[in-house]
Amino acid sequence: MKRAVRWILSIAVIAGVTHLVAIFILPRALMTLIVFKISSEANGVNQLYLPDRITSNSRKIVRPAPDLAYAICAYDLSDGPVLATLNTSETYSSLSVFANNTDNVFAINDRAVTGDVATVLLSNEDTDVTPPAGAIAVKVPSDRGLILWRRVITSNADWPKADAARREVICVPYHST
Amino acid sequence: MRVLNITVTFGLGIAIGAWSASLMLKHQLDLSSVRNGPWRTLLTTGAADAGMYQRAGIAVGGLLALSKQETLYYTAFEDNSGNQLQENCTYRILGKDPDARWWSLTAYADDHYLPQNDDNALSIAKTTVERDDDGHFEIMVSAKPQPKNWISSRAAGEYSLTLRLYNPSSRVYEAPAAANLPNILRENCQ
Repeated sequence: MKRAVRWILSIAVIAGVTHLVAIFILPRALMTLIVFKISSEANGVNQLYLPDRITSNSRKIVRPAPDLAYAICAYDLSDGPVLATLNTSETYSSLSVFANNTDNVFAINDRAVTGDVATVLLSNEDTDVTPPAGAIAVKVPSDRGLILWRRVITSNADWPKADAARREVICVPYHST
Repeated sequence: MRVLNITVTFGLGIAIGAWSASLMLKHQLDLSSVRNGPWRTLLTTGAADAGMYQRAGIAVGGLLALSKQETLYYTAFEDNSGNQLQENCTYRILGKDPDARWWSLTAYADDHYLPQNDDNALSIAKTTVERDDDGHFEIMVSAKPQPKNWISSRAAGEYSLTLRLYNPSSRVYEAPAAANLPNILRENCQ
């Protein structure tokens, strides 16, 4: 009897630990996989990747929006900060930053852009850096993650414009002088 | 014998742990969301203060989603009568423009990807929907083509609809259960 209780308790403890570890690891594992996929497609980290227009065959990221033009950059801040930009737009567009646990740590949309372009400087919490004039400094809790640009495609005829707009953004390592 | 015992104990424990985790994730939207008719939304999407279950649920079903001030995501798995949305049924979605800068409505198969069809009718948005003179719209979701405002559910199986509100007004994200959202009415099933 005592042995059976001990056996059931052992299973319960292992099940509990497995449950918690799975729930904790899952977002980080999925994000790591996506960062790897995107950096492979872009031929490296801190480089812009422009996926094809979303169709029913788009299967890189769950629940893709067919009426958005995307640009993505897998960032790596271990060698220093990364600079990203968002241009003004006639319709909704945004730049959002995701940490490696999937948290959306920063977002800016076209309405908040003053002038022609908003510049964002991403750095990790250990890096002490002075951002360039006018840039928004964003501290990210992880070295790796994703920057995602979205731009609304208002109609099929708007796609070339949306496609051109996403090609104007940048994602590059920042070297302060 | 001892090795067999340990293997069985670990095997069972890991299987039960993984099963219970997947069950929790499957029902995460049910457990943590705000309801508005057939629509549900998770207000902690993308937020740093999301609990670990919510974060894991979002990673599986809505990776890279934005926070509520930027975009509010309402998802419906059922029609207004509480029946699961199904490919073999036709639905009429009636409403007016939600209170947001821009919106779109998209159907997703139960694997969270777009339905595998070539109908070129994946979504309807604020700038593509046809409205009547009063500003009301009627969107048809069905596996068969419709004359206007058609979203194809062909090859979607049991599916869901996601209504994205980009830059929703503060009235919406502060009281998402009271927002004026479209109704989902089942027409007929085959």
